[in-house]
Amino acid sequence: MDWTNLGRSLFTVFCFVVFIVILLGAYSKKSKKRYEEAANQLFLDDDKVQEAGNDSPASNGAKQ
Amino acid sequence: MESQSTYNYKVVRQFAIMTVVWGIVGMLVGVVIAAQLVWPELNFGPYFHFGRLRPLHTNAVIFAFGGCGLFATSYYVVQRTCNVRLISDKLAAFTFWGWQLVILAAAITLPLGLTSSKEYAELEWPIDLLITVVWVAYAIVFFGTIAIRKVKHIYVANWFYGGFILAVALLHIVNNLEIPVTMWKSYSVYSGAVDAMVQWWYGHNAVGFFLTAAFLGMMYYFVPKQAGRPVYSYRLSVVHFWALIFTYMWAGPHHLHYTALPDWTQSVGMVFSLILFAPSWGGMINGIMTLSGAWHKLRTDPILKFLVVSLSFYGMSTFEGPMMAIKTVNALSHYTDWTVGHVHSGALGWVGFITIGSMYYLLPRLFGREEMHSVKLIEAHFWLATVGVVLYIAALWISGVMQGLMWRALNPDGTLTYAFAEVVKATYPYHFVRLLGGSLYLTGMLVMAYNTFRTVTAGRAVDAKIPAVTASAHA
Repeated sequence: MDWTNLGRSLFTVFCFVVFIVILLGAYSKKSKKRYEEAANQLFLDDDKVQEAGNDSPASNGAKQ
Repeated sequence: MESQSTYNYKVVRQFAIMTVVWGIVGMLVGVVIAAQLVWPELNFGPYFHFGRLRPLHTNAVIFAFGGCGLFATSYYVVQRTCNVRLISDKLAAFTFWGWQLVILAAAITLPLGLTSSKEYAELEWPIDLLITVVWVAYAIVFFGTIAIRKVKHIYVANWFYGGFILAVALLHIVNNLEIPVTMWKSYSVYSGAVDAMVQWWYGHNAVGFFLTAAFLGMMYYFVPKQAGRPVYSYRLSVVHFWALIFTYMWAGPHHLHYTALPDWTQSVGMVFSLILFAPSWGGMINGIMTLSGAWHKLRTDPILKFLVVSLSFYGMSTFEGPMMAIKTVNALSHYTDWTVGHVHSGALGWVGFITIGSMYYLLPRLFGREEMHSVKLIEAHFWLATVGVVLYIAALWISGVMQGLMWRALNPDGTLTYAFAEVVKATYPYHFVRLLGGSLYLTGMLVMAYNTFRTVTAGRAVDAKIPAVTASAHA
């Protein structure tokens, strides 16, 4: 028996099992709420620049 | 004290500007070598010969244009989603200047003919070492910033960027293990079929992790942000990530069909390439469906057009790829223009479009503007680029299939129907259309450069304040 090759095969099986576990975890009820929060997390952060009242290129950021 | 409460936009600005600059340089070299294929007289001297300019083109567009785009967006996304400034400004600045030095070294050594002759890993050993140092610094900045994050959950885009940084480190080091013999010459530690397999394990994972996973990180941040809607299915994005991670590593052998590589290895590569179709399309559908309920925005928003059309090209090339990995299809497509067309549908269509769209999102925000100088010019860029890509890939589909069919055509007595030169002659008109398509795409980039210049000069460099809202919501 070639132990190196057995190790390689077992690693492949291990990867596959890990993937199935991830799949089950991702689609479980438990992660639903957490994932919804995570997906909406982007919109709690407003990164748009507001030029109004502060759009003079020469303002040098002093108004901030 | 000001620096404590703001994001580091400086390094993002630097990389964003250089994305546009290197995009133009890399694509210009592409147009030049496309012209050389139509008019061989354009091969001037040893330094500007096709054989030396071609690696310059691929390195410039992948690592300079794509690389700078990834540095810029990953630094932006990791800060905004972690609600914290980059862990080290000095190290981030080092990655910028180090990466520019790598690009400069490539631009000098490749025309001089200094190459390790491994495709997409041509740079010689001193530059390989520099890349390694810069990459380790990049990893420290990125993962260090995640470590000090103020938001508990690590947003999925960061997973893709993180996977990309780790995988590229592994690929770069393993494939570039070489023995230097002089300052500018080294030999791979591998030999024969093993060397070929290591090279294409690297090569295809460069596609998988540099050109796919990393740009998917871009997709998972900028598509939802620009569409104003959360990603269609967050759980699908998680499965998408792990499926890509587990599958991509195996697909490399499809670059070596019908070579000295053991037949079973080729078959494994083919099967895993076919499996890759599933996560690829899962991710594409996830991106496109993010727009459900917001489709009307596509009519008026050219940035969103760039982002969504990039996903269409991603879907197209990830269907085409597995198909071409099937051995019998590959028997026709291998070594023909079809492969080149396939690469460009992914590179110009997917990677180019998502990067351009993300840059149009970023640039105004980095320079204190609400939007780009001209939205009409973004629209013009979009159509120039779209017509350019379609001309390019359609021409090479026809030319590629034609080459494959002509090469394999036999007379009844078993001799070849066409001499090689006859096939070369038949490709001329298609190579001209390809040059036209590439020129249109480059013209679009020049429009972008003008638009960027006007946006930057009318704006001012700002470092946005770190908002307290998200921190309190998630602490």
